Amino acid sequence: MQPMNNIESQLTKGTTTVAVKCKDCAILVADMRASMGTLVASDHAKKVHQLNDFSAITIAGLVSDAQYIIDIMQAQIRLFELDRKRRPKISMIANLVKNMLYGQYRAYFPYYVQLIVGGYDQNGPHIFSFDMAGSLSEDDWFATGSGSPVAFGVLEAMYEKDMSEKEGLRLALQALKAAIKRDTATGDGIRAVVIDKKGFRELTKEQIIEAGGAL
Amino acid sequence: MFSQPSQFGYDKATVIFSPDGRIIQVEYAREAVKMGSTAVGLKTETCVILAGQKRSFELIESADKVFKIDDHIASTFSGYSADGRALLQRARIEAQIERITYGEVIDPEVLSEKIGDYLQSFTQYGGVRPFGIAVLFGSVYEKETSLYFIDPGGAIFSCLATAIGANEGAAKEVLKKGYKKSLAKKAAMKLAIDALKSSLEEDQNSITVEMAIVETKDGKVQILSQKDIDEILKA
Repeated sequence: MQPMNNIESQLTKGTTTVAVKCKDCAILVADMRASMGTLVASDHAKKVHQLNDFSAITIAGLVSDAQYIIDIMQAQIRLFELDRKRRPKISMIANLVKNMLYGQYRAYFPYYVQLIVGGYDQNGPHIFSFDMAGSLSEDDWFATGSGSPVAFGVLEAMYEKDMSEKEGLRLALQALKAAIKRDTATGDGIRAVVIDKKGFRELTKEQIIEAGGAL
Repeated sequence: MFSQPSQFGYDKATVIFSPDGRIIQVEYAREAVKMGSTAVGLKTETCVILAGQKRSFELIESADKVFKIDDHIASTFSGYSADGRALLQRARIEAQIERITYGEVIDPEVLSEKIGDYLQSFTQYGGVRPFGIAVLFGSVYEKETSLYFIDPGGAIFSCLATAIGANEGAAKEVLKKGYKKSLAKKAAMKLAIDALKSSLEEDQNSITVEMAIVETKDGKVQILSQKDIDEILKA
């Protein structure tokens, strides 16, 4: 057991999540291990969550904070859609997340999370990443969590613009698999989500294996 | 001092309905609007125009009649000018809140709803009076023109063309006769000015018009003085 004063490492879950922007879709993948220090607390953790029909978020860090942010965001987006009879652009969703993170950071109790928002709107696919101080950047690809340095290496070397869904999925899974191999806090399975002009779609186990996600 | 016998005190507060279901304070507020200087608004396929008379009295220099709320939204009002300025300031703040919240300019329909909600709250809570103004918002948003009219009770109407303030009926008649959705910019400007002048009793050649125009080509509010208007119409 780790000492009690190191509560952050007890609560903060090691993770790897990867997001890749393709020509016609945004892809979000994540592992399924939730770690508590050296303990594997869960082997079926859900780290890619749907926000609305055309957007999703990946989470890393303190799970309770992340789940709370997801709940608030889902409610905000639903209210937006009811009030305005339209879907928010992905950049608008990202702005809401940014404001939430920054407000909490400036209140001296930051949400202990690393997030990626991905989705599809009238301008095509988008990937946005955040740090816990509330900075926001639009990216072609990004990775979060303890295994992200490993994933970064793969993405940095192999990402190309305007990839097809198949190519993008293969790359995202390759980056995630590298992290699973080299990061002890990442592992146990893969969840993958594709968002294109038809909307949010979660891949089945079989589809993930077929796309190159066999562990 | 005394209310009209028919009101029996039901006009003393906005929180009280009269037995026939009216909120009489709001109706009084509409009367205040009718005392205000006239403003007209109209939207065509390519532009939105708001126009009003810039009035000056003897030694007092004239106050603005049309206002910019954000890059893409213009506004004008009729009624108590102090109430109007307070409400427009609120509209400007709402427009900036939207930019901070979503990183996007505000949809004029959403702004109108927010302002409508705000005006509505003054018809339901005690210790307040409704705003003595009616407001027009003219805008180009996502390449579409829009014109919204909001009354003192907070009701919102999307309009093709409308007039508010003193003798608004006469201006509306002129708009009804001359309005076409396909009007070109100059023709639309002329129609707005004609409508405005028809509502005025004073010498129509001596009035000073102030105008806001938003065109679909750039979506930006322009505030035009009488001189600017003359130059455009002459060209």
